[in-house]
Amino acid sequence: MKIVLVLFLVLFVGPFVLLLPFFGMLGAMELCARVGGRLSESLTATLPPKFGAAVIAIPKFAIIILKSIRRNLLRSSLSYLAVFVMVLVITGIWSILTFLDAATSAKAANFKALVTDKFQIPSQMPPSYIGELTREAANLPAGMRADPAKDVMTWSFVGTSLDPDPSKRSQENMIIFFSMDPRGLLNMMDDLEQDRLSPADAKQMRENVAAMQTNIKGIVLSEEKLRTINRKVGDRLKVYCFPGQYKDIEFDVEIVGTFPRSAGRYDGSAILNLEYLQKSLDAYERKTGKQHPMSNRYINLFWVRVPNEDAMRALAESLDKPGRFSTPPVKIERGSSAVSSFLDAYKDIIAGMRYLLVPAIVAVMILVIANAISISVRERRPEMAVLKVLGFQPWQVLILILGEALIVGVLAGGLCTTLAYYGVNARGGIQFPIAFFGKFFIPVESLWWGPVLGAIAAIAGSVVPAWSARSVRVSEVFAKIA
Amino acid sequence: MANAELTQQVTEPSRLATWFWPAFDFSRRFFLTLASLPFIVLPAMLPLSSLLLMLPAAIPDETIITESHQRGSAIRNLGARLFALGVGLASLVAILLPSHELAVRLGLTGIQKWVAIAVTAYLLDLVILAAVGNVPLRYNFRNLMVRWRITLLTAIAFTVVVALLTVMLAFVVGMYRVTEESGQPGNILILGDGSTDEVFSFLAYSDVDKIEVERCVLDEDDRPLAEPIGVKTITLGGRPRYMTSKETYAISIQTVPGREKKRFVQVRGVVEPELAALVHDLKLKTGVWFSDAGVRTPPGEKPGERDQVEAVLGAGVAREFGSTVGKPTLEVGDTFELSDRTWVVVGIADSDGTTFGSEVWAKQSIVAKLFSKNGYNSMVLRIDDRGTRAEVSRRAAEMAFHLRTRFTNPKISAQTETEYFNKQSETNKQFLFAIIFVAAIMALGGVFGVMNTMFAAIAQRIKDIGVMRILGFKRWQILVSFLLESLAIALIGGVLGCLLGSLSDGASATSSISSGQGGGKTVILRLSVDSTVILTGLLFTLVMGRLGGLIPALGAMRLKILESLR
Repeated sequence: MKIVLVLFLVLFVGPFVLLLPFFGMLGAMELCARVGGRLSESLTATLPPKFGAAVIAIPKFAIIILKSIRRNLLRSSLSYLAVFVMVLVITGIWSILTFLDAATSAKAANFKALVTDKFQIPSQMPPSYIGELTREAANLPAGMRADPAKDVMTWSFVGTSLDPDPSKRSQENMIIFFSMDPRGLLNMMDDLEQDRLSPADAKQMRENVAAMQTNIKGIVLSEEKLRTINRKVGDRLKVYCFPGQYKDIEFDVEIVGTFPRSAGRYDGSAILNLEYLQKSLDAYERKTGKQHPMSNRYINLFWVRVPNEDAMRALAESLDKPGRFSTPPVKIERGSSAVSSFLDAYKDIIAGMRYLLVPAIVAVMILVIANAISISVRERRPEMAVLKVLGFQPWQVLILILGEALIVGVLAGGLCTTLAYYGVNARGGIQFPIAFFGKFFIPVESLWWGPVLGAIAAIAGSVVPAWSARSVRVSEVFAKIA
Repeated sequence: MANAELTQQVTEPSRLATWFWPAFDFSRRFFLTLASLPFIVLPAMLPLSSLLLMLPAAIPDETIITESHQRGSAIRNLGARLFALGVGLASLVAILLPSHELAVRLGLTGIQKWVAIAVTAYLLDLVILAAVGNVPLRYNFRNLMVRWRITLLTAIAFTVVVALLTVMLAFVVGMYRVTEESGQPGNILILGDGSTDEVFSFLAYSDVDKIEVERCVLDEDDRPLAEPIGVKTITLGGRPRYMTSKETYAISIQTVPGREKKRFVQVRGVVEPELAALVHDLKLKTGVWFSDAGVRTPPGEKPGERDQVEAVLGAGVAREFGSTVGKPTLEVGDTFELSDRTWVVVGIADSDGTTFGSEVWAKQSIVAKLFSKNGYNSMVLRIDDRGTRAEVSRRAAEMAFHLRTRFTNPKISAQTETEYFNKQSETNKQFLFAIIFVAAIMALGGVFGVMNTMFAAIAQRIKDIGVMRILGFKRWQILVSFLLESLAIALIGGVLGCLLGSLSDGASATSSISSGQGGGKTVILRLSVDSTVILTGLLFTLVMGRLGGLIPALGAMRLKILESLR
């Protein structure tokens, strides 16, 4: 049923939705040009003759270009649709690449360093490291030191399921928690920092943190995750840890809040209070009389915000001192470097997207435009000859053809990325699991990528046919017709 | 004055109409065409000869095969429709049967079989139409030559799209190969209870010995088996041994030589390399397996001071390590740094195309110590593997079920290796879906391009169509003629695209496989352009050519003689 609906939308509604704005924009542009023409005619009396002629010529020229586009609306529409769909793919790919580039490039401001096991993943450090690492960061020389109250954060990843049977584990009943001190949500989590959120979202996060601090069993989930597991805020649930990780540990949790909608990158995420994890491991020891296998290695990542790279190096030196942090040895690196290491497995896929897919799609786009414009020029050679007889200069003929392609390209690119920005983001982004990123959103920059990309493809595709139109010989064309 | 005002009032609306009427009229026609698209797209996938024969069943007023039609009674019309449908279906069967027979004779199965059937059916259909239809092929091909620039531009667009599709599919086929070829049908992978991935699994040293002596005597429905299933025994080193491999697995972080960058290296510690190699069906390409000690003392050094860890590298990881030190691959005797120790390559495994190709193997005791592991991560056992592949797979499944449900001391997670690697192909499915999506959208671009070309070709040759009709060509022959023209452009571009994409065959690429429940493995795979990829490329070409050519060709077919000559 869903497939039928999708087919119906794609085949019936899709072309209408895509073409209506194009026709609308063409109509609006022509209307503007005509109104502009009228206005310029009334203005010319007050202007110097040469300047006045130029003022009149611009809207008239625009009208000729727009008329040429609508003369063969079928061809224009097909070219528009071709460019539209290609720009759509490129926008999707660039959105993924832009996000990954940002995640792997060092940031000068809000510099966060990551302390992990030096030699292996998953990094598993003892809880005692929290205090020791915090002290090290707080004892750095003045101007470099971190504030233990707001510049540190630890993450422990806890895989759980609503179903105790591991064989029945699925996306619908699985919740992977970041187990952490709730205070870190306000200061350290990327894109959730108070100064980055809108006042309403910032308030929502403060309330979440307060609820988690009051009730250590309180958890915060993304709205998407709530939908997936079919629960709501206020619900209490029992979750069972993956036996391969926190064997025989279960949590009775209460959903106390959700991430703000603007924090789309946390779709699918969940937060558990670290204190609850610690207490559960202690309870296990009291119950069984033996330590839980994970009780001395449940800290996966330690984040610390330092003012700059020098501070990170100073901290690295103190961590490397002999006899300290040896079981396991730790390393400190920029958060972006750590992400980069994880993405190494995908380097060929990313390179393929960047250097093969995108250029190839741009090439196809150029070819489609070149094809359409070549056909158009070929059909309109007599018209070019007439224009020349009427006094049009070769460069004006060239601009006529380039203008046609440019309008189609810019409109296709612009409308495509506008639709993608609002449509795709409203639908929850692009699902493309790569490393630990599952979803990508179309960035606001795409609003200029589209028109620019369309313009580049249009100019590249139409420059040769336009040059050929410019070089039309009047005598040859009329001789042929005669 | 009044007259002038009146004239003004009359002329204003007509000028407005002059502006908007063509756009409105065109939009109306264009939207109607678009609305009819779904009804054209799906039947357009049928072989053309069947489609032509079936069309009178759907649109009896449209003369296609004959020049005119006679309206009869309702019963007669219904009979005519049913007849057309029957004849169309019969021709469809007549085309599909030999195509199916060919695919069967070629021994094709699964998706490959269906792609082959579709491609053969389309090609057979073209041959039949060209042979029976008396279609003016020379006229069409001459036109392609005359308009060579446009033909070339359209064909190049097809080439790029199909070449990209070929490379992307070759990548996915390479990934599927890794997951398919890494598992042995008679192997069972044992992980700690509830674990789905080796890296999060734990098996105590004392527990694994109990597993290898376990025998399964009941099937999944608790009925006695004709023959109990146990772990296979072999004679190795002059003594009988259970065919099992006890392994410690770690993902190590390595600083790439000469760079600040870090990468993850998968390290597998095995207790007895020769036995593990037999279990995993792995052979050495060059060198030897590591020694019992697992370390070697470099010349000039005292034993125990700067001992190097002996390692056997998978072929892929050897290439990867080599590329960062300016060599095509690391070779026996080369060294590298990992986990604060120097490792020396003692052998290169012949493991291309499997997950082991991306791993570094070393002595289990050394790996466990280096990565602070006080147990195994996994154990692989081979059951008695006599009989056909299907029989062995069935027995392995019975044994895995037994270990998973009846063996409780300790409770473990057991699954056949093929099942495990099938689950690991979740990422492959996601990539395949992404590729299909991207390819489909790119194809739309190609379809619009070829539509443009064909609409222009028809617009330029309207008079030719009239002349051809006068010369006696039927409407369907005009349709076929123009459709063949678009298919020719598509095929030229598509075949070139397949050839261009084939150049990627054998190229090495890094990727990751996972079951989608955390964990996963980095794999170094070889792109594989096999017959399925080529056939899919060709099918894609034919479908694009048909979709792009059908609507313009239908337009050409529906032109009236007088109209076209006017």
